[in-house]
Amino acid sequence: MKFIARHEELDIPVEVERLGVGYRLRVGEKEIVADLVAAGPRLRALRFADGRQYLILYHRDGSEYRITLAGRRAHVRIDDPLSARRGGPDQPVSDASVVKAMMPGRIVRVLVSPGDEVRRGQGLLILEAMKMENEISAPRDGRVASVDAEAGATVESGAPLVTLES
Amino acid sequence: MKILVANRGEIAVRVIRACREMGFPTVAVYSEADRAALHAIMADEAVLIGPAPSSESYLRVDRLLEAASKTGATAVHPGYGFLAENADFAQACIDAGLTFIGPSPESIRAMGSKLESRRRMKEAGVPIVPGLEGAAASWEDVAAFGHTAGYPIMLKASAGGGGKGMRQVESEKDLPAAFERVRSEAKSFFGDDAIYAEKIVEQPRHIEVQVLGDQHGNLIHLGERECTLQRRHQKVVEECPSPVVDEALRERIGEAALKVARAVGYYSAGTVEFLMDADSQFYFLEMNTRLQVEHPVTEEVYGIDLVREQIRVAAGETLTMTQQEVHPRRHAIECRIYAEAPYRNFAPSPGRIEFLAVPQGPGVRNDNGVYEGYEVPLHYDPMLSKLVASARTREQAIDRMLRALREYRIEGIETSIPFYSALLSDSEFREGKFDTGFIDSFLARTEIGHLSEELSEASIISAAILAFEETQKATIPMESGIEWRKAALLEGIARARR
Repeated sequence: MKFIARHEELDIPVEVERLGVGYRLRVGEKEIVADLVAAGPRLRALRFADGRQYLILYHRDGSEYRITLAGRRAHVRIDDPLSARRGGPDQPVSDASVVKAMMPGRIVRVLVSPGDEVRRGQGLLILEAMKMENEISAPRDGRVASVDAEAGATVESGAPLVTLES
Repeated sequence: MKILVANRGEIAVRVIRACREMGFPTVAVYSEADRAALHAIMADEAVLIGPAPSSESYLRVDRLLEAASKTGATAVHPGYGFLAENADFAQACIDAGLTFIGPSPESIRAMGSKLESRRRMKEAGVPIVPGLEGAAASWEDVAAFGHTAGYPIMLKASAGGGGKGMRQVESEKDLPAAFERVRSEAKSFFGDDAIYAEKIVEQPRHIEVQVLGDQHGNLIHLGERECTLQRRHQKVVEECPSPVVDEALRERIGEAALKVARAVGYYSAGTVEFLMDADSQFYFLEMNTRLQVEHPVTEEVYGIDLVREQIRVAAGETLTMTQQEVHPRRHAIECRIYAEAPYRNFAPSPGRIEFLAVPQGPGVRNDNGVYEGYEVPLHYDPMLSKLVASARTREQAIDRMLRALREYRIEGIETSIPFYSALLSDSEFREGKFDTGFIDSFLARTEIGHLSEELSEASIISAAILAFEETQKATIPMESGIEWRKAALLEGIARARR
């Protein structure tokens, strides 16, 4: 079966097929024989034909996989080749005209007003979550088109906070 | 004794454990957000004390006392944070006929004001950081001090602590704005807008000394802890002993700490914090009149259960050890595991812990406040657990911690584990060469969680196999579900007939 793996902004063609109790894979140009042994809920041992192995912890969200191994975390997106073409590697990663709350919390202060020119990295507002004040900064240079949240308000994760225009 | 634990999270769990070992029944208190928190389900009894915000629950003296009277508790352990250093709370417990497991309200009060404690320590002959001796009425007062002492200087709230209400000022032109900011923080966080200024100690290390005393005048110190590594004025890694303190220096700084504690008639467990410069000159900073977050490193090195000692002392018993009998026998390191994403500038990462496997094996201790399936609430400090590794030498303790961090598997939320793995692998950290600015410079030059080509490839392979399994899964029920369907069909017919 053919897939496209997206990892650290690279698209890599991958092919997987059953081989005995394990799998034969082609990753890019490389051919690999490995097994992914279940080692408890969410835990797997990735074992290569030469005996080398990694204990991995995984989490799946649709086609997004979060893999934790050797104390590090990797994000891999696995698509079938058709939908990968549709999803489009050419789609820009972040157009980011709307700055959203990356976590639920309370707006402590709004630092900008509509019409303000802001620079990338400049603080837009302060969001308090888990007893910490977090400055939400502008993802790019631009002009504040609207401020969509007010001080004191409680917001959910993903709520629009500030809209920027170029 | 029946002990009410006026706290939550890992420290409440820690106290409950000690009580259980000593055979004392425990009462947990919890907010609406903490109905299923580990401390609440672990205690012998659990009492709801109010809504999620701590100002309406864990900080409500009246509700805590009510919970004590309702359950017949006879003693209160405050943990750290919340009301632990609130002299009025300690007094209210005593007035209600309860034993307060901590120092006297007078000791707490004497150390609660930085200005007051600085004055007292100067009198007692303990070195203090040069600074203003009274509250500054305006930024101009501070400017006069800054002019003679030289910039940078540190502005501090007299009632401050825990990294809140302080700000470094680089030059006089930044002073008016910084003054206003610290004053408003002091007022809103501590209800006291008295602020003063201190000279900056260059390349400082943050060294603190654990003291322990009883109510009969016996007082000992249990060496120092190295707490220099901080981010946003919050400690991230603590060690015991400090890699830069030798036996002679330990004796000197330990003596100074005892002088501090004696000056306020201290008993129970307490911590005297010092700043130490590159020439090993140390200055009194403040005293924490409670159990410290990082107390386990001292426990591992000295083989003493500090919570147990606190409870014994509160009951009027005498210390069972003398200064001559206590020696550092190991090296211990603590990492505070937080629910925050080190890849996203340490943004909080609340949510449900979907998987949790904590490290075990020789020399590893995990003081935790969470469990698998637990929803980490938004309302409180994001600390999940304190991971402690101890061994005969510092080198071995670091290697052991790295091993334990690898074994610590948690999914559903992001944690600071990858940050610690990178930090403990850093050669400058391993050499013990650092000051309070170290973490910032370390973060600037380090890519946390960098994936080697090998690990990247292993991740891609794993994800691809998992995705392949998903596609197989979808078709399996069609083939092997026949028996099950047959059974379900028969069951349906049987039911319809009844």
